[in-house]
Amino acid sequence: MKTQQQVLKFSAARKSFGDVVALAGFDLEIAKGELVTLLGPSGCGKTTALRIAAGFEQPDSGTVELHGLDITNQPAHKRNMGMVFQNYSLFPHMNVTENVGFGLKVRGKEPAEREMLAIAAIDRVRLNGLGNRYPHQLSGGQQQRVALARALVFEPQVLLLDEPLSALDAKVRAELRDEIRLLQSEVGVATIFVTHDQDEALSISDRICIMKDGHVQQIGTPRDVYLHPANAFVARFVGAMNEIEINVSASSIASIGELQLDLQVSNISGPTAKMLLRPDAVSICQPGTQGSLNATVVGQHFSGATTMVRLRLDHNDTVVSALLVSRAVTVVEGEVIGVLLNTFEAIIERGND
Amino acid sequence: MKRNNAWAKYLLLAVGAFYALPMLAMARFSFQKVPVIKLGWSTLFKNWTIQPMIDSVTSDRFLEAGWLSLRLAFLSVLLSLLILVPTTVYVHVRLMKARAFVELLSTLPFVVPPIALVVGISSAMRSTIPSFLSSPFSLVPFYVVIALPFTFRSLDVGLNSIDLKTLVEASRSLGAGWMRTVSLVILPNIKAGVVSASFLTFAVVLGEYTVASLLLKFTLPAYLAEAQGNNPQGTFTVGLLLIVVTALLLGVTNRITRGKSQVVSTIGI
Repeated sequence: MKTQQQVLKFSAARKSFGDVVALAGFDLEIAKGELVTLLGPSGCGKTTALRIAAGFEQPDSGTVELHGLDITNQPAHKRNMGMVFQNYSLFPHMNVTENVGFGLKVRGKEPAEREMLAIAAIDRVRLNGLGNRYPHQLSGGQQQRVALARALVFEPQVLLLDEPLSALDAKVRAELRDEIRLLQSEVGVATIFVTHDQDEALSISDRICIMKDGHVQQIGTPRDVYLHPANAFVARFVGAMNEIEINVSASSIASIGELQLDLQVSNISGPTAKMLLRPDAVSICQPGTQGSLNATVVGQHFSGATTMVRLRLDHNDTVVSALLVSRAVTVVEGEVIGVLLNTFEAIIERGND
Repeated sequence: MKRNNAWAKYLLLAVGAFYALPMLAMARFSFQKVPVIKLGWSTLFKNWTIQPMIDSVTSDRFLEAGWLSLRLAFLSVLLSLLILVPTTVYVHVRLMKARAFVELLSTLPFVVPPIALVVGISSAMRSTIPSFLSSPFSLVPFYVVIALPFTFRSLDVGLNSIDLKTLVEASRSLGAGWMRTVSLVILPNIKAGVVSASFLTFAVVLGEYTVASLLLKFTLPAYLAEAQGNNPQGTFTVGLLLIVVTALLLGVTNRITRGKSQVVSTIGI
């Protein structure tokens, strides 16, 4: 994790719209060259946080600092931040070169220098030779590349990406996602990336900030939030999750039926609790194997290298998913097999978590 | 389908004739030196002349009225745009809730008859700024108000057809202040709306008679009314001229608007 120079800092930023609290005390620091993703369901406050950074919204209280200077009340056009929007935002009456050169023009750069820099930026997003095209002559992916070039050409201190990929189709999205990451780390600009797509967040980010109802749930590396979710919301929101009911005895021993689980549940008051477990922590074995539960195969979902097998536990009829390497899957529907639960990274949900 | 097309064609012809026949009749009356009673098939090609038009467009009274009307038209266009472009942009960017109200307000000139407008304003002005109504340019504010339904709508349509919020935010994030956002980003994208607002205002001013005559200003329509007595043929030629000019302006507006909307519609959202 990078601990370099801090570029952007939110301190206790709050914002409500009428009765709706969009952001309830938001704290976040972003270092130079770092890409932080704001991830959460719609209405979680991620876009509000981004718009506060951009200067399009004023927080009701709290501050935003850029390189240690308070910019909370600075107008948007003086902040020197590049932004790429969800909607195609290119100026329809300007061609690609003019669009990319716009930020340089308003900064008073001479036409010759402007064009040179714009063309270099267009080349960087691999649109060589398309400088004379107009936005309506470009595909969605190309338009977002131009928007990216336009946002980076004046060397902003912060890059703000507001769901830039959500209007694109799956293939283009994955391609552009990787390119954004590559370009961002080449340029070394502090970046906020807003998305509701967890795959996107996991694959692109240095750190992910997971939000819900205006509150930050967890800030951590993609590995952190996936493997060590701070709470049940994060666990459910990032990646798939099985939910299995367990019994907790008075002496703090967790079990499913006869099977005793290797789990720390001393802080849970029984008699039952919910265990959250990733599909890749579930595996299959011969029925009757030591430490396994019996289950029936109810379906499987093949997706190339891996297969998701759906299993109904005989004990309580709960259906769980097991993510397995396809080669290892030889089961058929209706077959009775054993299920092994790797509870090492399981999350136990308390009553009111 | 076929039959529908045929009907549409007949209907179009009928409507066309409805507009064209009076104009043709008017053209014959104005440009033929033939007594009205003898205008018929036999005299169709006799004595065509543009002398009545030349006479009237070179008369001092016409030039006086025309010059005033032109200046009024330009000033009204200018004032309309100066007031309405910032207003509509502001409403669209910041106060979308108020749009319906502003739209309603803009249709008031349709509801309030011009005579009420004139009587109201002139009695208010006479007791406060009596000199206001003595200048012929006191007509400009009236024309701005009368053209309001057209100007507001043209600009409103223009602003609706673009993703204004995103364009404004893109422009501001790239470092442009409000002035440059409006001049470099918004105006070029609502050019069609601005042009059609201008032409419509222009056409309104060239044709408005009630207010001008009530305030005793000598504009083109006032000239037409006055000259009807002594040079009926001449006034009809001027009338025709006004119709043709206005139609041309509207045609040009249409072309520009249509060309633009194609570009706009392809950018998607």
